[in-house]
Amino acid sequence: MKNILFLEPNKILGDTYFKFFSAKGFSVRIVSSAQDAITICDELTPDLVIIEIQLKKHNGIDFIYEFRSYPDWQSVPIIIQSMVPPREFPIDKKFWKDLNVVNYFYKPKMKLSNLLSEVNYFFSESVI
Amino acid sequence: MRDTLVNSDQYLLKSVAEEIRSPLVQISRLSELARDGKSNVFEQLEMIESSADIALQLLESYILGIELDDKQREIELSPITIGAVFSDVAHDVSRLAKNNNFDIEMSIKTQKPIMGNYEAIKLAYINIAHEIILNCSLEDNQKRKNITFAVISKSDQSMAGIYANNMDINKATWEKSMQIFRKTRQKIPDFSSGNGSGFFVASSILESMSLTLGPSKFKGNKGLSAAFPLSHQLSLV
Repeated sequence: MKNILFLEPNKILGDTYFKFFSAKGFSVRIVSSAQDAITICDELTPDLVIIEIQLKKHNGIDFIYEFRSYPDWQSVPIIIQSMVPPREFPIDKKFWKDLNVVNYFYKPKMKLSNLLSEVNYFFSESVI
Repeated sequence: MRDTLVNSDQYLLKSVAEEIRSPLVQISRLSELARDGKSNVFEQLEMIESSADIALQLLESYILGIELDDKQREIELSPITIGAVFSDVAHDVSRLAKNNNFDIEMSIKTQKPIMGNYEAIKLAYINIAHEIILNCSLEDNQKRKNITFAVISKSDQSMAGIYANNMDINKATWEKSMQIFRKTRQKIPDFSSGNGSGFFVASSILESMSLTLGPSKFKGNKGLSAAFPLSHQLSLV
């Protein structure tokens, strides 16, 4: 069973992802803060991390840098799913690739079924 | 886009539009989850209703704030007590509070009347309560929290505020949020992952009645309050 960690500050959306992805056969952990994400990863290294970058106190990019600073987590893939439209980020594919961010999705346009397809596609393509 | 916005009304509109995306995304995803058929549909419907209500309150409040500010709508003043308004607000937010592990506390030391517009004041404080509940609930989903509606009377005014035991807004963060209002997506990043539109809409409604919303403390808890001038003539009635 694949482990997915969601870093999602919105409680209702977090609960929704938990129910949906658990029902699809994934082991799902939901955290609402960057600090909690780091703590959880100490217990169980996820196969995939899906994060919102607009967080309370930290921003998600800082989190990614911190996450990547730990040797054990440098290869854990990250998907960004955010309320911040991609146009507000200077899209530099090298930047994302260097951070092992495999994709960036705009949350309002990302239905659960779309996200599930992306996750399934990702796991089918990956050799994890 | 940002450079073309010229006045604060437009910034507030943009802020509200951005904020309203959250409940709409919630509604969309909850509907999809309910359709998926593997979860409790009644529970999803309840959350859809709650998300829609929060979005509607924010929109109604924004419209009211704009109308009052533009003098499109006369503020009808009548003798009211803030305690009565707070009882109403507490009732309206009780389900949201319960779903987010909040206990509601009332501390109303006075029932001295003021001249005010009941509905406008109620809408302003509902938005403040929504922001506090929805943001504080993210700190620790298991821990019990409390939200306190407090009215304290001084000789010439009643201070009416909403406070929470894990709210983190102080004078510096509030002033900073006002300074960066036009410049950034997250206006109160220490407090909210959203943009805190509910606070700014509430502030705009209260401002249209010459009232100022600002940070204060009650029994060690932080919150936001406004001072309502007391009418001594009304007190004699």
